[in-house]
Amino acid sequence: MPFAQQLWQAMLRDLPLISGPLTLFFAATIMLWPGDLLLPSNKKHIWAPITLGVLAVSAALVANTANGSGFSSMFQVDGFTRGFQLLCTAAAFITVVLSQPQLNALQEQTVEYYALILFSLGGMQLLVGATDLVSVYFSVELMALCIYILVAYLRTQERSIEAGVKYFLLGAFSSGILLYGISLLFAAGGGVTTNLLQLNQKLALATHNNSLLVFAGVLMVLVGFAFKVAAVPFHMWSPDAYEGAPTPITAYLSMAPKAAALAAFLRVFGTGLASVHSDWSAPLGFIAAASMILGNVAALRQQSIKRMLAYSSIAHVGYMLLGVLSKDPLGGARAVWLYLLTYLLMQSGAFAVIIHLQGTGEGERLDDFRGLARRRPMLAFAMMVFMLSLAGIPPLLGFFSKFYLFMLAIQQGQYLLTTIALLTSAVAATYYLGVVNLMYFKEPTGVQLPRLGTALALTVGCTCGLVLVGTCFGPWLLDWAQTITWF
Amino acid sequence: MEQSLAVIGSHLFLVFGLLALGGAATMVFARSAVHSVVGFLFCMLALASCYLCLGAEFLATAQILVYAGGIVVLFLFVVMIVELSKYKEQTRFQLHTPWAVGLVVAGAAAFIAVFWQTYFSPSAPQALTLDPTLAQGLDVANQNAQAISRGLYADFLLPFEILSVILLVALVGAVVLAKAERT
Amino acid sequence: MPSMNSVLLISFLLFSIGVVGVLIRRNALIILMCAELMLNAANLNLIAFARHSGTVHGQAFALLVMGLAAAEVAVGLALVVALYRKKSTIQVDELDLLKG
Repeated sequence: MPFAQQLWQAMLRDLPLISGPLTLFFAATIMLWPGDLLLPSNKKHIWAPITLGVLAVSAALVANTANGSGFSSMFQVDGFTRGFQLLCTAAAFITVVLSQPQLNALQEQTVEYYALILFSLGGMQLLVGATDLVSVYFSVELMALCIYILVAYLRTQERSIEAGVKYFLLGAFSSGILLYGISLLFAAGGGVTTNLLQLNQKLALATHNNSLLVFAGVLMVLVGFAFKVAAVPFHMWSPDAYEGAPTPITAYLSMAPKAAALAAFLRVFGTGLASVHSDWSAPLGFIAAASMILGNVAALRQQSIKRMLAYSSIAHVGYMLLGVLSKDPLGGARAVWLYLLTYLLMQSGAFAVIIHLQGTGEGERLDDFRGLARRRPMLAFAMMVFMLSLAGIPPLLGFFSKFYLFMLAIQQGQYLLTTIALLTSAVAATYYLGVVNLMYFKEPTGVQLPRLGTALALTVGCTCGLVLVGTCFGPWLLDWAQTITWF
Repeated sequence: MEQSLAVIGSHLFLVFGLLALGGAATMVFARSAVHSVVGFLFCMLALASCYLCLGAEFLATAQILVYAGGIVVLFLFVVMIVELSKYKEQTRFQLHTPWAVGLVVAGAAAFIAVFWQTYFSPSAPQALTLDPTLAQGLDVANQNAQAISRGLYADFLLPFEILSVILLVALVGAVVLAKAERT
Repeated sequence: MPSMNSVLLISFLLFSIGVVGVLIRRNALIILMCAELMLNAANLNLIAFARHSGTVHGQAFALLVMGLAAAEVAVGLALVVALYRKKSTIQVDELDLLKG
């Protein structure tokens, strides 16, 4: 009995730490059953506002969770956790809003869609606070499993199923590599612990004969994580998955799981593997450079804007990996968080425009943007703002976060990588400006577009406004970034 | 007698390991999907025996129940559903097979070469030899299952709960993806 | 008692066979089985090193991984069935709607 009582008390003591994810899981479960049974079938669209409400509650709980560590040091709430949890929740919020046009048009308003988004967000919120390789692995798998299903959600469309199968096989392969790497690190640490801080200490003391084990383990964990963030050369089927998935899910894919996976990357490599920095800094540098180069170069040749944004997100991950490389993990974390915050705003705005165009059967191909300035001047202006900001052109918000990140990289002495980043940013400007060129300087070909729905209009308007004036809020943004700490 | 049992014990692990490798090789190179699944089953059973050699009785049983009893059966069902029109595949391998095989063989050879040199050289430390008395630690409450339960619910509570959510998501996903289309 | 060297060697060979299988086979089911094999190789490592240190940390982790593998297989097979229904094929290089 005392053992069971101890367990119960330990659990009750630690539950408030995960109040955010817990709300999401409970809400999603109740939505699935008996929620869906009780709702009449012509009112299924109510799930969207309910989901938004749940997301708001979860965000409030997350913001109010006090610092602490629990579950046998497997989960920890600190400024870092809260910052990234809020980022992922914002991404999920925007995704639900962006999903409405397509789900309404296809009459696919089902509760499972929203429940899966809630479950995946719960996995992400647990991932960014995980301080043990075991909880990292399981949170990644929860997040990824929901996303495999979401990518293949429109199973009547061939491309959606194809994208889902490819993404799933890639994900299963990468999770095998990640787990094997974790098992090697577990072995190298003596087979007693997978806690990040304890592992760090044990790895620092690794004997010469264990160093091969450590090296192999670290490399495999790096490869596994690189698959999860879709960095080169492990990006094999990601552009396909991005292209075939339903467009709001593509938006979700390019924002939230990347943010959560990068947060896990920062925590695992910043605290857990910091003592073996020399083992992974060179391979990670290579991966970052390759992502920046290939992501930007491949985006030049794309005909579909979804694919172009997919390759450009690979390039953005390359830039953010510069933050992971830094020897000062907290500084890197702050730069990455700031970059992700601005990236979230720009990507959601761009995808809102694409989804609006898709409503009329266009929006997939770059050619659909021809002459948009004449058909819909405000929309074209917003898209121009997003494209310029993604390219990092001052004085827009994108420039601010890129500048902060590159400044950190230079301070850390990574001159070669920063040079590559600057050169490839210039290349990126080419294809981003290409879209602007198409919108403003080419003849329109499409039909008359309907009016923008309220939700989409609000999204585009807010994000555009924020991106335009965001740099004026620079000091406040930097203050927010300073709250990203861990202990 | 004890000594010969110990020697047999260590060799038994290698025997089962080699059987597992054989099953895996069958799985990868077989022409018919059913042969692959049978190879997979054989590999899982051999691995269960390997776990027994390592003193993990509960896990060996779980391996047989979950993998051989659940996952292999699922695979056979799906093989039945999708293989009705073909009995044997014409081409088994993808176009880039030589590159992939070359890459993996090179990587494995490099790893094993360094590994051999490090671990089988005369100066390899005692660190990797097993201390039989440490096996007592696995039987904390006189039974392996009780020891595991203590570890699972006391230390691994969070991953356990996440796993339960994962299983729920898998349930939802399987229904969402595979249900019959609405007419 | 098996030495850790042989365990590491066998688990690494199993892992490599799994990697080779994922990279070279065309049948989506076989690719999935090879991914499961990779997870099993990692499990073998975990259990062996739990034995090595005398704690149950690795064994509990391995048990949880088995549950995870089952869930992943369930979703993967549902995807394969949905794919077969749509395209009547499960060979991955016949999935060419999305380029490359």
